[in-house]
Amino acid sequence: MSHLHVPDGILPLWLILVGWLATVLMLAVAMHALRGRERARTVPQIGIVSALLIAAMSTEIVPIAYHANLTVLAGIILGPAGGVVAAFAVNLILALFGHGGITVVGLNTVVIGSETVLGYVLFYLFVRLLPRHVGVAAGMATVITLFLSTSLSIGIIALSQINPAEARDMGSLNPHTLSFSNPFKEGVLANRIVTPEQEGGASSTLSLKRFAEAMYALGAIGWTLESLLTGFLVSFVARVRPSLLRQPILGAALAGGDG
Amino acid sequence: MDIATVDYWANAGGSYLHRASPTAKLMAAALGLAAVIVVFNLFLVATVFVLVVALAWRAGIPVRKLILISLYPGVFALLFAMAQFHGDFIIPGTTIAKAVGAASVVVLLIATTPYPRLFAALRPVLPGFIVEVLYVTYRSVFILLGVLSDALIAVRLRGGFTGRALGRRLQGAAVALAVATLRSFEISERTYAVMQMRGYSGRISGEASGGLHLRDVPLVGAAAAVAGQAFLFRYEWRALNPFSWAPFAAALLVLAVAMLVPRAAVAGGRERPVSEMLRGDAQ
Amino acid sequence: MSESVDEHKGEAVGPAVGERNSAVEPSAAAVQDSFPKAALAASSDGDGRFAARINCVRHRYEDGSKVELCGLEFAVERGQRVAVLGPNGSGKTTLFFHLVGILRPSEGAVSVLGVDPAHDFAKVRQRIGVVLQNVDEQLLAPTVWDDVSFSPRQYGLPRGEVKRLTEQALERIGIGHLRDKVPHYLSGGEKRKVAIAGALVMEPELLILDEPFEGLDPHARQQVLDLLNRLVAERGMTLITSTHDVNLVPEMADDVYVLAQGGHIVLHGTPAEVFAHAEVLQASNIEPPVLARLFEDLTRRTGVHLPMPASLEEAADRLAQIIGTERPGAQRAGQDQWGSPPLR
Repeated sequence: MSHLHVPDGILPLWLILVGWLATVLMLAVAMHALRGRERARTVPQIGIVSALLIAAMSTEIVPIAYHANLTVLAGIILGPAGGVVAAFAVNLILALFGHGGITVVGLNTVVIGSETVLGYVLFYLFVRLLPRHVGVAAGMATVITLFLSTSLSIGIIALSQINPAEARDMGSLNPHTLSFSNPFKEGVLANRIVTPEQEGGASSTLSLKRFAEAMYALGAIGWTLESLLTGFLVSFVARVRPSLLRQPILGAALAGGDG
Repeated sequence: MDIATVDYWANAGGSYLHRASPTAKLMAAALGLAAVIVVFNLFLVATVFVLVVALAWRAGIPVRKLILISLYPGVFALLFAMAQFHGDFIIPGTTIAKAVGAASVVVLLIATTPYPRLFAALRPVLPGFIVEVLYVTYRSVFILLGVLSDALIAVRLRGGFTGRALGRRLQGAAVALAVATLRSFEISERTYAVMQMRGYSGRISGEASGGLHLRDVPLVGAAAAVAGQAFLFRYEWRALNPFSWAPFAAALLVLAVAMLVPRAAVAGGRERPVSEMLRGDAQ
Repeated sequence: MSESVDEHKGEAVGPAVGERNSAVEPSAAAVQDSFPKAALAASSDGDGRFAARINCVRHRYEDGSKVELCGLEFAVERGQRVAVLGPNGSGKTTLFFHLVGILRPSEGAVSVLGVDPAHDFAKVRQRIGVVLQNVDEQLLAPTVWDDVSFSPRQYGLPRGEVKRLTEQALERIGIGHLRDKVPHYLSGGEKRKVAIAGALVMEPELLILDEPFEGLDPHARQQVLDLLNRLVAERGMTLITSTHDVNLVPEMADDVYVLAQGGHIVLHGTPAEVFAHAEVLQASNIEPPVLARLFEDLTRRTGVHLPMPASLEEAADRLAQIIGTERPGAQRAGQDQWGSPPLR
């Protein structure tokens, strides 16, 4: 559940724009890393792995509550550059049919892109330490990656500081009096388009804590399942097609020189 | 799966909305989204939603299914809404409504525009390499959905999902995914080989990015009007809020007219509602 | 056509190149010595005789399994129609993958239109059309028109030319009405037709088709077959196919190769010659066409020599001659191979 299922209309505009900007930067770096004649070769690779992620995320194993993520697997197979591109493609396509907000595609790409990069780095680190236990290395990499990405998600939400007071300030309907509220009674209005001034920060910190608790609790279950799944898949691939795992060191360690 | 259903709607329909240029629809969707995001008023969010339903009805999209798909983000909005709950239901309600409203705009877009045409329309703003990846991803999703469903069926037939135990379901799913993963690599290698054999030099689709046509003006104009009134209500809310029921009532009127005017009257009978086609096809 | 052929395995009974006797697998050493790798690799396109050659290629898969395309030499002359038969897992697809350069042999040499396809396929790809077995993976573009026009667009041909070639290919296969359709909503047969159109669009000299008739109904099969035969006759196109349907082989091939398990090429010759070797075919799990079996049986029973007919038409002719006079104006079975109505 690390994919930010934040719908549209919740996060402030400045944060949305920061997300898109970060995505543009990440994609630029990734494309630079992939430049050259071999780039055409990566198109079907990234495409099929993205499709795999989309298919996995669309197949609800436990309806609404859990679906396979496979982002760490994507990072392991595609490498960090391909992983970031895949993260963007997956998010865009999913958002376009309502699975996740379209405005948050930027932020989602940052979160999921980081998962692929982190997954890649951690996996190839662990596999050097545990060359005979590829699945375990993958599982460990997954747990740590997802923990970090969930924390990142919570951090992003925290930045947004959803403040109920602001909604009242904007003059929404008050159900008790069936009238529209007068902001001068409640507090000073801030222009939410450009500046993120926080009023009544105390009231929203309480909500944030509740939110964070829920995310970590649900997350822990998700990470366990995901790491088991990823570990299984990676060890399966390592057994049947070791050449798919990216680094030559790995190939040598596993199959005794069979590249 | 949802993506397959929505893709079918997009390809099978022939309504005004289906035939509008993808660029125009993207602009209209962006304006509609802006309208939903900018306001804090439940009435105004509902206005956009009702207009979407009206458009979907005229385009022949199964409205109930569209609403169901749009509700999915609403479930996640619930989490945020609960964090905002401080005694009244309106604000959390608006949060959820915004999520659903925004989703409905996007789903209407994709239900009337096949993905590849959207990608072509996005060419001016995305790097060519990314667009190519999007095309291959799109095609591969359908290939993989076939592989995955075959694998899941095979697992199910062998008793892989027997019993309610979650562990069993996960095991079955894991095996199916493993098969799909492996097939993915073979497929991508062969796809690349075929691309090379056929001379691939960087552009899968021949479709032009497409521009705007005269007949798209009503669509974009209407969307601009909706967005305009949303911005107006946002910044002049002190004066206008007491009248926020008015756009909502107008939207309901539009919906009523949309549902009452018979669809066959449009486009000389060429238009065949997608819902009708779906009823007709053995699904 | 010699009928007395030495079937003993292990004896060096390889034919000289060009000799049209059917042959059975000689010892591996004999084959390898006769066609040195260097000579094969260096054969330039100036040697216009052969469109494709494989010289005892061995390939080892990642999971350890091996395919050895050895035994008889695989050599396809220009303008020939060649069919490759063999049981599942015999290496037919491996052979095809080597021809198009998807696989690189661990040992041995492959030459297609004078180049090594594993390294230089790009040099000749404009002249080769390929359709592999799984069509889904080959339909890449969003619409049928996009897919058939794929190659001309990639090679940078001017728009007018792209349009002309694409329309021509669509019309030839008879799928003009599908031009705006999305690939994943087509039936299996339609997908295959689209793939074949995409392979023919650049008017190739060599067409390589792995199971071209899979998924096609009998009518479509005949249409495609007639089109392919016409292209070979009119333009001297070379055709390399594989098929499970032995009954079609006499109509679609001048030359037949039979593979056994593991890739060994055990038979080579015209359809008539090949289908006469019942035991070898049986070992490869191939049943000769019905007509071949019928005529062989008749030959055995009656003692009258009845060579295998190439088509239903020919079979009916021969039988009619034997049985007695034909009724004047009687309707003929089957279709005229060259005069069938054009596809559109």
